[in-house]
Amino acid sequence: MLSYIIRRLIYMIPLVLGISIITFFVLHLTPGKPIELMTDMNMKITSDARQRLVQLYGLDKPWYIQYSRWLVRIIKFDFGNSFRDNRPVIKKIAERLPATLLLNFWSLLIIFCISIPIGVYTALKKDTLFDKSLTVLVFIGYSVPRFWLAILLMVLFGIKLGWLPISGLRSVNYDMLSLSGKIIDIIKHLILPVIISAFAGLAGLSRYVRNSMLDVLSTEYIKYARAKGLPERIIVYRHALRNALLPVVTILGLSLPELIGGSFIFETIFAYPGMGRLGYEAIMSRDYPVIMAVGTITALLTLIGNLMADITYAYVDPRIRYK
Amino acid sequence: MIKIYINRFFHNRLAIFSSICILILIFIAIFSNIISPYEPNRQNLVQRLLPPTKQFIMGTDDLGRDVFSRIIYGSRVSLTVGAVAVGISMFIGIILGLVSGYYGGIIDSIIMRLVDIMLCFPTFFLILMVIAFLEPNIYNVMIVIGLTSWPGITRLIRGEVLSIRERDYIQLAKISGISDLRIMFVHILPNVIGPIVVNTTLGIGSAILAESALSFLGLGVQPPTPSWGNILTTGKDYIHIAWWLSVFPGIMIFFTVLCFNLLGEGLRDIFDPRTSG
Amino acid sequence: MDNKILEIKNLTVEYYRNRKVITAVNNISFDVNENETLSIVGESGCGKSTVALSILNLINSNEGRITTGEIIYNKKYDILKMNKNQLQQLRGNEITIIFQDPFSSLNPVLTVGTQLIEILQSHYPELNFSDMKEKVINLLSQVQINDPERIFNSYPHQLSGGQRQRICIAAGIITNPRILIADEPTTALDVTTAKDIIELLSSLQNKLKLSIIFITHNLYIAFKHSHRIIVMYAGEFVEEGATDDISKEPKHPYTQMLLKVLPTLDKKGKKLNFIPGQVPDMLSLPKGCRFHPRCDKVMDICTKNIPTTYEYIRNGIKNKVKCFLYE
Repeated sequence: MLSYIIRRLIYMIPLVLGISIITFFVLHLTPGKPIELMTDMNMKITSDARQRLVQLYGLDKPWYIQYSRWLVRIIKFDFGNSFRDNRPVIKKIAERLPATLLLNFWSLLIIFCISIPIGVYTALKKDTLFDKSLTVLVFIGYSVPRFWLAILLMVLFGIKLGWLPISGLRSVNYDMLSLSGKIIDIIKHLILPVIISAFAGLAGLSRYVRNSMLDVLSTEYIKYARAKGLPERIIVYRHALRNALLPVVTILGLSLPELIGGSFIFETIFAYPGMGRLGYEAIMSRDYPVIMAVGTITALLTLIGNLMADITYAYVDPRIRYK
Repeated sequence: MIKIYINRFFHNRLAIFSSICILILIFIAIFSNIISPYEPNRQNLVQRLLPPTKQFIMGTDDLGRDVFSRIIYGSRVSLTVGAVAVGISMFIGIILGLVSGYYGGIIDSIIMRLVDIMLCFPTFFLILMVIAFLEPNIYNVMIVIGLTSWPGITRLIRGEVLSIRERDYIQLAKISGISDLRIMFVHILPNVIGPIVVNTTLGIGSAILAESALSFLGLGVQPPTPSWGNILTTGKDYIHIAWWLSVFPGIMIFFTVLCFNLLGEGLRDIFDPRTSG
Repeated sequence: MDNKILEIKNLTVEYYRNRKVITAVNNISFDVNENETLSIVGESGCGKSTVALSILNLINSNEGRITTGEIIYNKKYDILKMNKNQLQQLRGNEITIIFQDPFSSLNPVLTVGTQLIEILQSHYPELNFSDMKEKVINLLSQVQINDPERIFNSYPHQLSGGQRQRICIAAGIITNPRILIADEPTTALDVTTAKDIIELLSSLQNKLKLSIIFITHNLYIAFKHSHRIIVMYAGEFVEEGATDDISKEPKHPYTQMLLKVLPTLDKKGKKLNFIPGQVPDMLSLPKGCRFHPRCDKVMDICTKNIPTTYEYIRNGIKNKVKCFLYE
C-alpha cells in the first residue's frame, strides 16, 4: 500500500511538468507577441509599464529561458501582479479560493448522498416505473444547459418568489447578524449555486452507480451468496454494494475537473466570489497573469483530487491494499 | 454484420424517434432561409422587446429582431459546431487511441501521459482559457472544442483496442505479415464501431452545450450572427421584462441536446453485445 | 439404500438466448437417496449444471425459467413451490452447493472468515460470535486447511485455488446439510489438487452421512467415488444405474462410447479414441433420439421416435436406460 502511494506521487511529477508546459503553450498562443496584445488592450499602459511587463515574463528572451522562468514561478506560486489592479495574483486567488472550495465541497457531498441511493434503488428495481422515470430525469439532467437552468432558477427563486438571494456569498448586513444568522445567511446564498453545480453530476453518477450495481448483481459470487441462503438484505448491502461502490470513488475523482471547471459559469451568473468568477473576469479583461494562475491552480487542484481518489480506492479495495 | 445493427436500429423506438427529430433539425438548419419568416438580422427599433404575438411568434429582442427567425438560423451554428468539433476530436482521438493501444510500450506511455495531463484541466475552463488568448469567433470555437475533447475518446478507444488486440484473428493477421496500418484500420477499427458511434452522438450534444455556454458568456459566436447562446446573453439583461428571450433559446438547446443524448443511448443499446438476450 | 431424500420429477428448464428459447433440460426425473454419492455425467452444455441450479431454484429469471417439474425434498416439500422465506432457509442450510470456480464464487472484498460466518449468522442467529468463529476455525481444519486462524482473516486473492475450493467446501458443510451439490468442483483445479479435493469430499460424505450430487464431465472421477451414476446428453436423461453396472456393462451407446474414450492403462500405446460427430446445436435438434446421428447402433426407429425408458433391477438398485435397443 505504501509503495502504491509512493509510486502514485512519483507519477504526479511528470503531470505537474505537463501542466506547466500546457499553460506555457497557451500563453504563447496569441497571434503576435503576447506583450503587444496585452498592452494594446490596455491603452493606458505607458512604455515604462510595457518594459516592466517584458521583464516580468522575460518575453524578450528565448523560449527555453521563458519556460524555465515560468516553471520556477509555478513552484514558487508567484504569478506576478494582476494587470487590473496590480495586486499580487496569489493574494487575489487566496481570497477567492475558499469560496470555490466551499461550493465544490457541498456539491460533492450532495452528489454523493443523492446519487448513490438513487443508483442502487434503480438497479434493484430495474425496469419498474421508478427506474424508468428516474432515467428520464437523468436524461433531462444531462441535456439541460446548466447556465440556462441557473438563470431560470435565479429568476424563479430569487426574483419572483424572493426566497433566496441571487448574488454573492453574504448579504450586505452580514456583519450585523448573530452567529446562527451568519450561518443561515451563507447557506441561503449557497443553495442555488450548489444545486446547479450538483445537477449534472447527479445525473451522471447515479447512472454509473446503477450500471455498476447491475454488473455486480450478475456476478458468480452474488449467485453463490444467494445459494448460501443469505437474506436478500445482506446480499445487497454487504456483498453487492461494497463491490459496486469501489469504482465510484475513482469516478468521483475523475469528475473533479468538470466540477471545478463548471463552477466558472455559475459563479459568474450568481456573482459568487469564487476563483471561477475571478478567472472569468480575468478572461474578459485579458488579465493574463490571473488567467494563467487560475488555470494552473485549477489543474493542480484536480491533480490532488485524483490522487486522493486513487489512494482512497487503494485503501478500500483489499486486492490492492494487501498486495 | 452491419445488417444486424440496421435491423436492431429499426426495432429501437428511441433511436428512431430521436433520429427523426434530428433529421428535422438538420432540415431546419439547411433550409433556414426558406422556413424563417424574417431576416434574422433585420432590425426594427420600433418593434423592440415585443412579447410573442401572431406576427412574431417568439417575440423580438432588444434590437427589434424576430427571435423565432434568429432561433431558426441559430440551428446552423449549433449543428455545424457540433459536427465539426466532434469530427476533430474523433479524428485525433481515434488515431491516438489506435496507435496507443496497438503499439503499447513507450508510445502508449507518452500518449496516455499526455491524456492524463489534458484531463487535469477542466474541459470548459481549458476552452475558456484558450479562447481568451484567441479571437472569439465560430471557427475558433469549433477548433478549440474539438481540440479539448479528444483525451476522453483516446482513452476509450485505447481500452477497446487493448482487449481486441489479444484476440486470435489479430494475432493471425500479424503472423501472416499484414502491415500494422492495415491491421489497425481494417481489422481493429471496425470492431470499435460501437463506442465510436455512441460517443460521436453524445459528443455532438456536449459540443452544442459548450458552444452555447461560450456564446452566452460572450466568448463564442459573436452577434449579429445568431446563436442560441448569445440570444440568452441578451435575455439575461432583460430578464425582468422580456422572458421570451431567456426561455425559447434555452428550450431549443435543451431539446436538441436531448435528442442527441437519446439517440446516443439508443445506439448504445443497439451496439451492446449484452443486450442480445 | 432407498431412503429418498430428493425426488426430481419431469424437470424441464428453458433458457433465453439471442431472442430464442432453448430447452436446456428436457423432462428429467431421478431420485437421490440418503447417504450416497450420485454423479451426473455428460459433455459440456448437456444441461447438468442447469439441473443443479434448478434444485435450489437458482435460475435467474432474466436467463431462463423452470417450465415444469417437481422437486420433492424429504418426501414432503416441493422446492419449486416454496416461497422466498422457505427457499432462503433451505439454501445453504439443508441443501448446499459448490460451484466450479472457487475464485469467482467468493466475494473479493470480504474476508474468507466473514463469508463463512455469515452462513451461520443467517441460519443460526442464536449462536454468539465467538462460538461461531470457533466452529468455523474447527471446520477449516477439518477441510485440511493449515493455519486456519490466519486464513480466517485472509482475502480470497491471497489464497491458492485448492484453498479456495476447500473454503467453499467448508461453506457447504458448515450447517450439516442433508445434500451437497458439487458442480464440477475440480474442473478449475490442477490434477493433484483435484485428487485431494475429491478424496476430501468422499471422506466427508462418509463421516457426515450426507448425500452428494456430483456433477462432472469426467467419467473416471464419477466411477471412482460415486455409488450411482446418471448420464445426460443434450439436455436429456440417457442412462442411470449403480456405478458397478455402468462401468462394467454400460447399456446406452453413448455411455459405451464415453467408456471407450477413457484412456486406461491397458490401452497404452493404442490410438486414442474419440466419439465421432459433435454435440447437437440446441436450436436445431435432430428428430427422434437426440443421439442418433452419432450412434453406431442406430436403427430406423431412432430417427423418428423419442426412445422410451426401460427399467431393470439389479442387486436391489433400479437402473434405467433410454434407448430402443432394449425394447
